[in-house]
Amino acid sequence: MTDGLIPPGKYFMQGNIACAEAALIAGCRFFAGYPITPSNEIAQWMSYRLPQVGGHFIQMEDEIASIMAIIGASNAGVKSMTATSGPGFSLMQENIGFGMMIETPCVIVNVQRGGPSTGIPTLVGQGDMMQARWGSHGDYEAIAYVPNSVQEFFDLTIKAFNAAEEYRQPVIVLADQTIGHMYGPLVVPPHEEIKIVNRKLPNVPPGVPDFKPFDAKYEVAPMALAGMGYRIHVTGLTHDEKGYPYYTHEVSTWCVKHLVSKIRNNAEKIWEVERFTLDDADIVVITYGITSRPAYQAVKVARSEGIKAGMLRLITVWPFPEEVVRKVSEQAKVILVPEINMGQMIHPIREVAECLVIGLSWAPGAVQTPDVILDAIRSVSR
Amino acid sequence: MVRWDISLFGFGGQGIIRGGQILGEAAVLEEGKDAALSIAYGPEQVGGWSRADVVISDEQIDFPLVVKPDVLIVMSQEGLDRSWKEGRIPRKQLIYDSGLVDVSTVKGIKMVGLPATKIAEQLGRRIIANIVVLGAFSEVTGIVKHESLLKVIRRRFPKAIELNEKAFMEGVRHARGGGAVV
Repeated sequence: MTDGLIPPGKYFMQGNIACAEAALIAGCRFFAGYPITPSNEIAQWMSYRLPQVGGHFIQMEDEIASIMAIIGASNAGVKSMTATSGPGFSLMQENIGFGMMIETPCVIVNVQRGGPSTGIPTLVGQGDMMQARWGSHGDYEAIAYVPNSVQEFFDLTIKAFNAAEEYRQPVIVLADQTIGHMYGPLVVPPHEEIKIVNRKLPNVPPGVPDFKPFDAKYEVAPMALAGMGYRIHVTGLTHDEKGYPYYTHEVSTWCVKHLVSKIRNNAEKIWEVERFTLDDADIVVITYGITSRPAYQAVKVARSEGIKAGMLRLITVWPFPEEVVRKVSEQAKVILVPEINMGQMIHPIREVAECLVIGLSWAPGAVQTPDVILDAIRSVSR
Repeated sequence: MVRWDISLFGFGGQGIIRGGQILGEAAVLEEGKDAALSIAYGPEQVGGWSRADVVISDEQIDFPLVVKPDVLIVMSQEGLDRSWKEGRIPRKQLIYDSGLVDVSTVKGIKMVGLPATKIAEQLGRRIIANIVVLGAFSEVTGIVKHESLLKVIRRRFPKAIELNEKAFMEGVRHARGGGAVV
């Protein structure tokens, strides 16, 4: 191994392990978590691998402590991650908001299982799509990536770290039990070809008077780390550029607008989608994650039957690629939205679509077979 | 596109999932194919049911899960019974451990049985029954070549190469005879 990182090459690997190896390549050197199926292999592998690369792993007492530990570690300058599933993700919500408020880069991987509550721990679900966007109270803009293969779980974990560093905020990877537990081909590129982003640090020395850790002149302010000598204060309270609580509507306006604008202004840069036989499609299936896998096959069979079907796959669900979806809807007659939930991403799609949008809700516990989606395509094509 | 849906079904401790990993790894790393392995098991660590579903294709796999296998390998009676109950009846081929599975109720399917666990015991290690079965699978179906599987096996078990090779070739030999009913 070079530097203790996974060597470039081809592997046949489990999704969760690929995620952990990707985190290490991205520079993650701290993991705090609490065991939960079906994300456990990530924590297990990190506990084994982090000491080999000079990092640290802590099993915390719960998920509330886990998210706080990674926020703390990141504020000390260490790229940090946690991994969980539905119930743990629920527990983390308050402090995901804290991470947003104090602008702390970190990555939260949610390997989704069936819910609500304890739900169906060992089986697949996509029920946390909206929670990833609106789970914590107050205004913020989430970034969430949704992988549909082992390779993409690897690639998007690195991208999640990069986005977290670039925009100084928690970033979510919304995997699911099937992708997490599945083994598939993984190509690890030469490390020097992998883009790694690191947060900007202040370009003034510690001790300068009037130093502002949340300086409004930046879209994303350079991050003064604990221990570097800067006089900094972080708080979950509405704060000014210096980081101190300040309770006026004016400061609140700046603070909240700043948090949402840094993402809204860059949304088109963050958006990622895959277009599959979309060019002349009048029936468009919009998918994300594992649900795209049966959809590829359904769309191919539909095409072979002469139906003009295509698929738009959302790789980033948040920020929601609304312009892309709106454009696709201009040429489509119908949009079908298969999800492993009772209808979540159908809502932002409906909000922007200019054609009929039909949800194909599906209870957690199994992935739709291609036939389920194909039948829907056939029935709307008539 | 040639796509094979394969299901290995047995109980925890038989190396069912390890068998699936070897199969997928051989297809991907040694033969340049695409493969997807998904695993399912009962709540018990050892002794509960355990299943490995492997999809192998010479093109990129769209849907990575097995709905109905082309080839079913069963190493426990529960494996056979559950597969039939859940409608996961193999389209093309059944391979079974003849010492552990009674197939007298199965009709109209190509079958090869071999006493994989007994063979493994005779070789001195019961836990290599999965390797015996992989030898039989390769011989009967040709979906993954002998040498591809042996390469992965050698890489994965560097301290027991000879024993595992012997187990694999015993599986091949029994399957070549159409599956000796011992």
